[in-house]
Amino acid sequence: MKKRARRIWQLAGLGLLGVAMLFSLMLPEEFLMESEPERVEISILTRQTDGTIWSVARQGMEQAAEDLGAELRFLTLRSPNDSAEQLELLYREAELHVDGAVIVPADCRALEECLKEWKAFPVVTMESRVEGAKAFIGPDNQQAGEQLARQVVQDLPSKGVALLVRSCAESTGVAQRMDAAKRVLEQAGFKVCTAENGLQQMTEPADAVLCFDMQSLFQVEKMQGSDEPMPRVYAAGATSAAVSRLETGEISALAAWSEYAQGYLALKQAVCAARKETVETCVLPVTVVQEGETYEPDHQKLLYPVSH
Amino acid sequence: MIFRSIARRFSRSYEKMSIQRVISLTFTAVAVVGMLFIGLSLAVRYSSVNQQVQAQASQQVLDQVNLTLDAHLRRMMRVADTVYYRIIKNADIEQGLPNDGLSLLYEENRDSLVSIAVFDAQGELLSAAPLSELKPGAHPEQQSWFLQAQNQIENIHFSTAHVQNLFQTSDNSYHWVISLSRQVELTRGGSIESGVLLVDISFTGLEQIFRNTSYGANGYLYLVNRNGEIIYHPRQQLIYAGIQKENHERAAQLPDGTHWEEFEGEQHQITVKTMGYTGWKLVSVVPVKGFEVNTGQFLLFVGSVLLFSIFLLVFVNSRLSDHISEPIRELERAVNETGRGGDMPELSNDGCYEVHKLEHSIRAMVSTMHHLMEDVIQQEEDKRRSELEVLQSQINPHFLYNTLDSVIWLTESGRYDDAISMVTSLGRLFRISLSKGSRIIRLADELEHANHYMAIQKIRYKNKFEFSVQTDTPIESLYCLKLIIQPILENAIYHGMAAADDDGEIRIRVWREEEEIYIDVSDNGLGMTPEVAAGLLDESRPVSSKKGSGIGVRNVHRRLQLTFGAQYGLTIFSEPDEGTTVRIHLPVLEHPEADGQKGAVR
Repeated sequence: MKKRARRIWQLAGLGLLGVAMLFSLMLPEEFLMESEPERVEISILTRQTDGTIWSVARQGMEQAAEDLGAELRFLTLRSPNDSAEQLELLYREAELHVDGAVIVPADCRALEECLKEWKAFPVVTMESRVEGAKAFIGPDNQQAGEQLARQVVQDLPSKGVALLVRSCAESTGVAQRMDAAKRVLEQAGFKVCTAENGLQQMTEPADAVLCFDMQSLFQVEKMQGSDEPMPRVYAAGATSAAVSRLETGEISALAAWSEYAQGYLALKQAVCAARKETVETCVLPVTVVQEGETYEPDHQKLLYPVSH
Repeated sequence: MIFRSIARRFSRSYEKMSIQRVISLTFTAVAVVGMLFIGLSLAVRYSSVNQQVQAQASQQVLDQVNLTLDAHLRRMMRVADTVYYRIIKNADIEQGLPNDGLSLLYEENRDSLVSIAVFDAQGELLSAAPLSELKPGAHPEQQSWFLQAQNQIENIHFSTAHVQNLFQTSDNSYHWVISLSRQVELTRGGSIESGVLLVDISFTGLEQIFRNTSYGANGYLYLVNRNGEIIYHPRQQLIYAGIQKENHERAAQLPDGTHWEEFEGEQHQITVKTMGYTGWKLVSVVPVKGFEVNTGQFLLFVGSVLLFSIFLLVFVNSRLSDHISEPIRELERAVNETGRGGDMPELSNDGCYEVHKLEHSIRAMVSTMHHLMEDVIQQEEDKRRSELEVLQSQINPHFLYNTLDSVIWLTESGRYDDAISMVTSLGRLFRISLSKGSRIIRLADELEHANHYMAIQKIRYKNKFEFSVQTDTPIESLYCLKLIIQPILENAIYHGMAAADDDGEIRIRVWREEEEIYIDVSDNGLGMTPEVAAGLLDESRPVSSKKGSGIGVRNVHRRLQLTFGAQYGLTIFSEPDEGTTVRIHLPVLEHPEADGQKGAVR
């Protein structure tokens, strides 16, 4: 009886192993591969009306989307820095069940309020840190402001008037750049004027104009009259428009960081957050590039992304 | 220490194991070791072949890309040659270089070119296509491609990938290019001067070559110059932005062929090929993870087959060993049953040759044992009977009655001396007969016993015969079996002397030959035929209890043989009317307890 039971067990084990062998033969190759992660849909909400400002960052985002398996939805505002519209778009995206969003906040405080109750999808911010967002990807804003201001101090040893311009008062990232620059300039003995919400008109001739976002740079260009002596213009950001102005000498120096890396990393963090993976804030280093230095090998890599 | 303990434990287990288990385990262990060896060899071989195949595939792809890229660069070099030999050589720059020639060449190769330009030695633009206006800040004479062309005039130079910063564009667009430059001889007003020809190769065109190359999953190709600077990489901007890292500087130092490296925690198979003219290096990178999948699947398959085979072996070996060992177990059961006293049962004919042979041997052994046991039993029975007969002969009531009757008669007839002598002999006879229960007595005592017996008998038979004892050898230290002479004397008296007329003669002669003792008891009686004499010792002869039937002689013969072996005993020599001699043959015994010595008592 015992012998028979043992034989039955042997046969059962034998059959089991046979099935295991057949199973291993039929096992599809994909079984041992890490399965392709599910594609996620990520919305990109800028605070500008012109998407070209973020064209380099967009290249990075597209590369990240290709690498990580994501669909991108680029959304721009009808009027610049319209916080209400941006939040409206955010809610709309939630209704469309996107998986995550990368936002350039038009109003950091409003977005922070919104994110307090926000459960729809993870949000990653660029340019400004916002409480409640999963991560922040952007330059060291304080460093950008300080370095730009030091460049002004170096270029204008005789001091003078420095006009600090930003187009969006509610953007804390831009405000940080401006505050840091203001502190350095004041310490250096400059008379500092600020335009917090864009430049409507040139109230006073300035020796140096510091633009802390791209929109303010465009506004400054518009304000400049042809008969007036041109002040030195400094800007923060490495958009293609800014780079071309630096090359032509319209801008004296740029506080630049890799827009491409910013876009790539922002989207990567958004995808990771959407997939409930670990996310991390990345602060990008800032380099000051002066007029005539754009084609130095390191600056080429920073300012002229290789587009594939 | 541990090994010894395991070995001891195994040894103990082995002693308790059945033959079936030993066979099964041994077969399985040997087969599994063999299979593991073969399996591992196959796995190692497969892995090695897989890597070789991957390396060959990489090499083939590199060769293909090298050919394409080389053709592309040669085409660019031909463009440069065309510009130089067809346009520049035929023109005088004082009259201006014909721009349409450059434009035509550009249009023909616009998918691969960004611009063609000719500069004089001071970096002054002489002619260019498609754009002809330099940027205000452009200083061609300061750029590396210009300086290289000026410094090494005999060569064509290729730069690394860089942004072209020479020509004014309307849309502020920029181009990544690879600059081909060479020194050219310009004719200015009949005199020759140096210049530089620049052909900016489109990076996109180069990229297209790599993009058109299909490569395995996760594998990629890139291009570096001799110094390890990246010319093309599929993730070039990510590397420039510091998001991704590449071990390109080390790759530039590697010789052509396949190499292995660990970079950023990942194992890579690197294949390097150096391009002919430029010295650029094509590098293919395949993460080991890429072909680990197949290896993993192969190992899973091998493992599964191995497990299945092991179990199959265990099962088959179990059945096989069961089949082999069953006849042995059956034999064991039969032997056990035989050991318990039964007959050895018939076995089935399933076993192999050796088992059958063993069975036959055991059966023969059992049979022999039975015979031996029967012999032993028979011998023991004979011994017992002999001893009983000895005992009976010691206290033969007839002899005692007759002797006492003779004593009475002697006493009544006033022959007191004879009576006393007879009673003395009788007493002495019985004392020697008993000998305190010893089986072995001194030979001298045995002869004395014979003397006393014959003394009694002589009185009874009124001296009808003479009796003498002759010893040819010293007998003081010799021993013999008790009461071996008296039954022969008795027989001699009854058969030889009964009919004698006072001339009867019975003689005993004792002599020694080396380690043998011979005692001849001879009479000159009627004798008998040799056949009758031989029949006296025949065990198969029916036993008669009649006095003088010869049973006493046969009893002595048997006792001698049982005690000392078949070579000893009695021999009867007789002829009718010639008398009879009974020869007692026994070994020399020099101690009363002769066990373990020569002539041992059995």
